[in-house]
Amino acid sequence: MKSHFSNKMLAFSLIACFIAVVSCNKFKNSPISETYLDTEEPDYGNKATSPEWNAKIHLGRVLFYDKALSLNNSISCASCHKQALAFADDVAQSRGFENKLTHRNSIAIQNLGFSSVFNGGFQMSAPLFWDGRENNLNSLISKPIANHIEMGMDNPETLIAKLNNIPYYKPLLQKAFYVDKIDMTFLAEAMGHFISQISTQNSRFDQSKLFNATQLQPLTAIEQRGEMLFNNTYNCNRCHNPNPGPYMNEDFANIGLDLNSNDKGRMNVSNASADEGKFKVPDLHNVAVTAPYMHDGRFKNLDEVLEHYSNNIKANSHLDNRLQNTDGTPISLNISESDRKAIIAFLGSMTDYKTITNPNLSSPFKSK
Amino acid sequence: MHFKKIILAFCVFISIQSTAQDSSSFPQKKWTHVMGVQANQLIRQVFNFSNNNPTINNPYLLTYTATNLQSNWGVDVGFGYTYNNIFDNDGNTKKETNINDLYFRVGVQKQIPLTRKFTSQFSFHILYDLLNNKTATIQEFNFQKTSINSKSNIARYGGGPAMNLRYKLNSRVFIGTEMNYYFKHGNTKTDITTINDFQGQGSQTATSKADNNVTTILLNVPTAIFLQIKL
Repeated sequence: MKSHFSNKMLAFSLIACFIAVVSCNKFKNSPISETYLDTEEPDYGNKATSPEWNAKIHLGRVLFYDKALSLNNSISCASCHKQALAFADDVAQSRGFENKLTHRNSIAIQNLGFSSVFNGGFQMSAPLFWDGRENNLNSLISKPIANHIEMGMDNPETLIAKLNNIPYYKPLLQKAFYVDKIDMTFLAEAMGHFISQISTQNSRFDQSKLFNATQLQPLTAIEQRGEMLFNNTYNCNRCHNPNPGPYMNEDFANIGLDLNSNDKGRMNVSNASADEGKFKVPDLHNVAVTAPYMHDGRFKNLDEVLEHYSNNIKANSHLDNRLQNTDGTPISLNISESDRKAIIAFLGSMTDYKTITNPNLSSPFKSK
Repeated sequence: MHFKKIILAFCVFISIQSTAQDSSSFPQKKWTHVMGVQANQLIRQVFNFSNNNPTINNPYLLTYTATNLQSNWGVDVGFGYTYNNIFDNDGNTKKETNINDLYFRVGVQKQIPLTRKFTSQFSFHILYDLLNNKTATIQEFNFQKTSINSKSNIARYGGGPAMNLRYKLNSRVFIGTEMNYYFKHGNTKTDITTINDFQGQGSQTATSKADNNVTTILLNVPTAIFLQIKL
């Protein structure tokens, strides 16, 4: 009996050692390329007349893609906000600097410089993050950097000292701000300038509305049908008003994802129970490339999103009025298979390929 | 110190309960023992429910409950352990993380039968969490190789009430869910070692350590489903 037990223990130990060795070798033997910063500053639109403005955008771009902004140099902002995915991520929850899962799905970064919100005569950013806890683009930037799961740089002084020791920042700072040393204000301003560059106005949907549709690519028949269904049949436009050109949705809604939600959403910010389970209504530009969907990435594709609105809206006490019948029960849109295809085709027409492939928005770090 | 007092009070309570049973004159079974496993993923796969995958905040994968049949008071224990090895390489940076998370709770519980099939259980738990993360990162930048090893260790203890609702599928098998409201306090220790290797021109090592207190209060709504078996 004892010998049988010993054999089992021996086998278990051998398997554990094998896994440890394989895992260790994978880390040691996996090759990486040497990286360098492509120092050439492109024209972001107005380089000749406003070189400082151009330099600020370029500095912001370098910072956005620089992994030095994380505690262990392992991730940058772009690790969770990937250009090809409209600056969103393709997983429900991204992984932070220590591979811990973030609490929410990475929201697409686009059109953040466009807002109709004014405060005291000054234009503010629309509510930012899924729960709208920030409405100032420059103050948004420090939050993921300091977050203990995302980038782990909870001490701004450590971050600033680290960046000031990196040689390539000095010439960039001199061109942008005429200084040698970075601080949190310069960092936020430069990144704010870069993020404001990410706008969507070149999708076929935008072009068919903003310009003469006969000269540019009009929507196809199925996309036009999808637009009609979206706006008139299923009234999706009551929340997702599909405006052409860069704009930001400033609305929050509880769309009946759960009967009870662990994540209180907007309520965590406003402390108003009426805001329980409310999350930001996203801008649908580029929605076709930002899967998975919702604040927790629970829906893998747009078909699952439409299935939710078709049959699965939960009757929680804070369900948005626009998703209730007159008796307070949740609506069921019962979207047919062919209607779903048309709506998804229409949403696909809102993809701005120019933004998601723009070299001026791509990583300035290259591999040798 | 308070933590030790709570444990002592708990032990005294259990010993009183046990002593009370020893003096009982009833020959029949005095205690029931129930083991539970968290079964959300299993149920999702077996029954192919919707693809919705809401986050489950309950880390206790295994539970054990012993209940005195006379008083309906008893002990409630929960245990959870996860190990994760994550490796990724984006071409410029490679990173490997080993995560070891341990969750343990123990407490007293009182069961109140609601109907023939439904039973509620009210508990008060004391908790201990130990979360350990080791991450190694290597990157090469402008003739400089940088290796960073970070270790973080979070040890938390606390307590709070929990409520469990259980449905009897048959005489031995139950299905249940729970909600809890836990206070946790502890500290986070991080230890980061950075080695810069200047490709044959020598190397430079820097270390930094931090020790911070952390306090959380968390309400978990019923999302975890437990399959429970009477032993």
